Amino acid sequence: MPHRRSRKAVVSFASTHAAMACESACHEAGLAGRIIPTPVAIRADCGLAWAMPPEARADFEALAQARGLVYDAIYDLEL
Amino acid sequence: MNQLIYLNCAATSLRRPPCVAEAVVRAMSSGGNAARGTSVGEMSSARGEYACREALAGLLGFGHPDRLVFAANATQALNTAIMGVARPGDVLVGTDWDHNSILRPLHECRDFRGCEVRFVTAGRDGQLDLSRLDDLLDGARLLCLTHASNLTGDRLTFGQVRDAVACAHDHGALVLLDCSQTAGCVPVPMDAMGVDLLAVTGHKALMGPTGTGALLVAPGVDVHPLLSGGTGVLSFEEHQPAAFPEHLEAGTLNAHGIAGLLASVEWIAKKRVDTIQAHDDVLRHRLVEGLQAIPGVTVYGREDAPHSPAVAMNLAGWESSELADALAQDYGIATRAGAHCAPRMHCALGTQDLGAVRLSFGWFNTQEEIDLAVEAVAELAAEDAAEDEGAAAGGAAAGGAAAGGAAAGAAREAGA
Repeated sequence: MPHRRSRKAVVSFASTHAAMACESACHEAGLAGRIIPTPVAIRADCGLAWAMPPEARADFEALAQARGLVYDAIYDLEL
Repeated sequence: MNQLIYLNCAATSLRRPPCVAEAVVRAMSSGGNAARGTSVGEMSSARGEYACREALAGLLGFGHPDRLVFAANATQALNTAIMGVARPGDVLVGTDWDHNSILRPLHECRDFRGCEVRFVTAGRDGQLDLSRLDDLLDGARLLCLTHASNLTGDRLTFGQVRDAVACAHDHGALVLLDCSQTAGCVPVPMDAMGVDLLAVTGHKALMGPTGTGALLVAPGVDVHPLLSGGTGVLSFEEHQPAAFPEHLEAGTLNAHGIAGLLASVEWIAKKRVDTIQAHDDVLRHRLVEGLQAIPGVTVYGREDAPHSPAVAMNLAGWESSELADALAQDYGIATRAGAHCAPRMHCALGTQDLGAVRLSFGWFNTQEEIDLAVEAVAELAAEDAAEDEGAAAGGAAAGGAAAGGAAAGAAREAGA
């Protein structure tokens, strides 16, 4: 299947635990997205990143604040 | 002989909830290397490790699961804590209850880092003299406490731990609590106790697989890594990442064992630790009462103190190794004889030459098994007494040559 690039909001983390906590909370909340290998364009501490459709970003940020999720930054990338 | 009566749970939990082995087998056939990729297998292990950190931290009353660091066992966790905190010349304080997994790292620091090591001593009754703690902690960097003696089962109360922590913190010292004998069978509320570092093993009362354990590090506590190596993250950094848990986790984790540990921790959480503790307390009371009624039996420790599910005893005229072997060979009862890696506690109790027989139990033991163990010791004691009487009568008739204990030993040997 050909790989089709699209715009994504990509969240970086300081540790694998933080990435897994994000995945767990997003799945629980029904937010779209998945764990991906951290893109080389991002100088992140963790090899795992959370990728989601750009339109899910606001919901993610609200969830992160409500649940105390710890992340480094959110990038807008074509992947 | 009937099936094995396993009374060596302080060494490891032979009987475990079936879900533990099932989880290990599942993980072995589906788990990849966590944080070394994002395909199904790697994510399965990463999710398992994450879930286990959350579940175990929850069981231990610790609100920072990201600072729960997996280890191969309590020994590795304790070494990580002690060697990672002690600086050259520091004062380190241990206790007579400590296992060699604390004592030997302390001695390493004393002999190779120039540290001064002091000890809270125990009396003949096995109780620690905590009244001297304030003096011992003067200028100290670290206090190592053992939550329950792995020999007698004598345990510190919540209040004793809290008071020791307050005293240590007044002196600027950190507190490391070894919960090898209590995690899973006694409530261990880490945050409420205020300890800075807490070590557990996964395979004893937590009933997980061997090869699992953890060190819990309170926020703000700095521990220099014992091991350095791959973490799957920050590959271009020359040193271990600063972020937890990777800071203290180098190399591939035991994902298969951790999957089993997750299953056992969830099983225990559902059963509830206080339910398990109440079950164990009933067995302990029954065992101690039964043993103390047997002539020649000495039970060590103090019965009005709180306990973990272990009892240390000896029978007059028997070496501990001989008694444990007789219980195993003649009655199918597994116990542990010898020194139990607890040299200072044996010296405190005066059993350094004899050793002791430890009977330890858990959720899967029954009152019937405890009764059979008591009956077995009683039978051996009665045989011994009868042999002694016979030897004395024979000795008197023949002019009196052999001493009772030696004669009984010879008679047992001849009958073996």
